[in-house]
Amino acid sequence: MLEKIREIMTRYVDLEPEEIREDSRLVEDLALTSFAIMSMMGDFEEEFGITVDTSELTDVHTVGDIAAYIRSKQA
Amino acid sequence: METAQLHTLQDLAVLSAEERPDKVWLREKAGKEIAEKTFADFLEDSRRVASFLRRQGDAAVHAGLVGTAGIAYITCLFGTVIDGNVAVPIDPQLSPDEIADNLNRADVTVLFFDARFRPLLETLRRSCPQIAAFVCLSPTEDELSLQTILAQESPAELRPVEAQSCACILYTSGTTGKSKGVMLSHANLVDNACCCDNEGSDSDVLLSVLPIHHAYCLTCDVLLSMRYGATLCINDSPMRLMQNIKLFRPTMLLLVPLIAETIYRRIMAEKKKNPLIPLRLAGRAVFGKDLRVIFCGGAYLSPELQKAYAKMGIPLLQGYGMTECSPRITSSSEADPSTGEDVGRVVKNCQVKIEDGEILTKSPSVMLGYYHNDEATREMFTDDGWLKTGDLGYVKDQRIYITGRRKNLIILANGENVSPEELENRFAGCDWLAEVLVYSEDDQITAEVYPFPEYASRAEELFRKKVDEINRAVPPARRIVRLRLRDTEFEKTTSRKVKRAQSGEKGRLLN
Repeated sequence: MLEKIREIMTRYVDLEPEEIREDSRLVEDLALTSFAIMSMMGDFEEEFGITVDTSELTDVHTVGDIAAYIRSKQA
Repeated sequence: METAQLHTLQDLAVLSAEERPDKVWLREKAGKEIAEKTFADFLEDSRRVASFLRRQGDAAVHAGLVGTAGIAYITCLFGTVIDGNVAVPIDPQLSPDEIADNLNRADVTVLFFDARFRPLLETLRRSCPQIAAFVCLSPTEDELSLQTILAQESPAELRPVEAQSCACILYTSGTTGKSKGVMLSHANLVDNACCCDNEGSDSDVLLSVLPIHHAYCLTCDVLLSMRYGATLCINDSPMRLMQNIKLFRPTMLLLVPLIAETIYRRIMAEKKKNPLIPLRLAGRAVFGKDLRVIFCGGAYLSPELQKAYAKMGIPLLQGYGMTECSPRITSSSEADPSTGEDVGRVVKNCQVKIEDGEILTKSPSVMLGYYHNDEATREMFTDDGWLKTGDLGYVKDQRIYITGRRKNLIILANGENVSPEELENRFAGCDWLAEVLVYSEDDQITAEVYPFPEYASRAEELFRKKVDEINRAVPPARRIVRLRLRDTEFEKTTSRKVKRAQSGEKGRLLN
């Protein structure tokens, strides 16, 4: 899953997938804007067949948090 | 539509329904289907809402709206204004206390709310005792809903509405703390919706992306599409913009620079993976083949981004304005685009002049004033009635060039105006803190602090804790992202105030 997340994230950051680490912080390290994060979440909805509730994203700060969030929605 | 006949938002709604009764104006996703509303049906629904509001008070009712754009929201907004009542759209991302404060300060007595924001009701019922009716925008058995109103009320015979009467109160960031309620009249909003010609036609499709409590969206998405008889589609979430562009196939988009830049980056990322695809095709793969033009406003738009879009064959046109001007002061068109250096041409009926370097304006779009705030209103105008924009610049051939800002507002690329003083004031009461300065760095809100030396060892921990507390209380777009800690005092002015423009070394970056 992490591999797919990294691949989708390269649509929004000018990095190679392997440069995006699990502990990379979305805003501070990857300089993602709030709109880019939202837009990315829309891509994850499509890719992983989940429904994202934006009010649940307050604790999502890192790439690893995204993976954990997606897993929790798939469960 | 003959714009000379338009004086009020009632005229706009009635004429659009007369001219194109069966044309679909609004479209939105409703589960797996698409819900639609024609101009005539929309007017009838709005008149039913007006009937309901008649029974809520004799004088103009102030109706608050807490929610995001949608057919129900726009119906309640128009149902309020077309019969001489006052609509007060509120930013739903504010904290419950701030929402209550804004509703109270605008004398709101009826509230239309989106079911998603139902958790707010407990606070609002407690803190806003003057609100007599709460109306849910979606069907519900627990409260009064819009559906019940539409089923039970007859369409009102509309009352005459004065063009100079207040139609909307929109909140805007103040430079010294509390937000201010900008009163926009029917004449203001109609003038601004008609201040340019040939921007669109009834074959146009707009996709509304920006928050509807902002004047830019209200005037340029909602009122413009109504004026031209175009179709307005609703983007149900910023998460789904790309998908919704494919679904609704817009011909016109209104964006802020941040969104335009994010989409451009995404296009370039796709192009990097498939270098043989021509840029125009890569752009069309995202925006669809029907998109004709993008209007951009709300924040600084770089000439580089405009050029990049031009290379994709999509004009990215710049406008400039402020809520107090309903909001447009300048605009650009495909036939008369901004050059990249200027922010567009001054719109019809609008006068602009420069005084002490500051851009001043006078036009029928300029607000009535700030609601219940005469002092702030007086400060915004010169003695001879020119509105002070707070922006520094110059005018050449009726084009405006911005060179800086007089006021201390941070304007982020997403169009959000953030008052640094408001965030700085939130640090009040920290006994460890000697000085704080909030500013924008790389388009991110940054707080830099100088703690009292005796707290130096614990300052980082205390600073982070305080910022977490502040960030929980403000909308996401106004959160402090960067933290800087310094071990020397800030540079001061001669009156010992912290200088906003610091020339020395910045504090240590904590994140």
